[in-house]
Amino acid sequence: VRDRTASTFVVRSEWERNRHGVRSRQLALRHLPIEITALLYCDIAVPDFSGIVYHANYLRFMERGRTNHLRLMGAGQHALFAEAQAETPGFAFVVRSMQIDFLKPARMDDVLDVVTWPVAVKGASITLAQEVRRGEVVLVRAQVRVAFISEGRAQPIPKALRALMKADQI
Amino acid sequence: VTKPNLDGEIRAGHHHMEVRVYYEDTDFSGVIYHANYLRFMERGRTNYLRLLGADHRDLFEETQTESPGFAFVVRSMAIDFFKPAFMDDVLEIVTAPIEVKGASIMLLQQCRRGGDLIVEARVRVAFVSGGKPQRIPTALRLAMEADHLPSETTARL
Repeated sequence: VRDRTASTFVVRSEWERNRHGVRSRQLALRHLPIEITALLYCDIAVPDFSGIVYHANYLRFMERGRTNHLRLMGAGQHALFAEAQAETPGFAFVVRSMQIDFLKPARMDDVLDVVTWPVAVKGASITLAQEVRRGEVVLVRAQVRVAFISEGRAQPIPKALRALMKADQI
Repeated sequence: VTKPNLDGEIRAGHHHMEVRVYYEDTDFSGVIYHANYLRFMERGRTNYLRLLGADHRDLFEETQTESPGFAFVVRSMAIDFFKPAFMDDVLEIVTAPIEVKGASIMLLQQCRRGGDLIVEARVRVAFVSGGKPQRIPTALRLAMEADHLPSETTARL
């Protein structure tokens, strides 16, 4: 749980996520932050001339969600992250493809909830599901495939990191 | 008023436009920040519509009368990021309709650097007027079809 000037990040417990219909023994045993909500205040620069959020800006919000998802996983599982860092120095994820549905517009002064979770973990890429919500209403829904790179090249995801992501998978 | 070097041009139903990559378009690692391709592609769509309007003024005026203040809004996008692009690159943004339905249009958009395909997107835009989705007026449909040769779309894109 962290505070920022423009945004607040809240780590949801596994019980909260279970309310979304996800329930398994494996999940109940874990103590990882698994779902991150980012409360993003749309600042004055964000809405376009029509008063709704410019579509490309949802990608910026969703990237903050992915970055903080990874940040919190690293904070929660220091040893595993250190292992991944040693194996593949300066690793990062780059976006390979996105499928986005813009369902409803967000407006000035809205508080949006950005929810991020992994849905598929492959050898060298991860597929994340992301939703931008206002309260219970889903405004934008996306599937994002990110590839793992280290030292400028695509690489297999180290076992430590894969285990961490898999544990989060729905 | 259209300006060829700013607005690009329509050739055989495809809108072509060049953009230069500036520092502000890149992220900390020196490549174009992925969300910025959406800004480039939106400029492509806007200029495509602007040029269509200039080429078919009467059809656009008819559309304006029938659906005052009409616009297109993005409903969904499927985007592939194939290669990175860098500071000082010149990208060509190519836009063409691949399917015109009753109330929405599917566009294929590509960002190219020379012969390299950098980003490709399928973009579904819905027609809105008076804040609500509407059927695309026949006049506008005609304007698009007039510039659009279906057989060439798949061949060239």
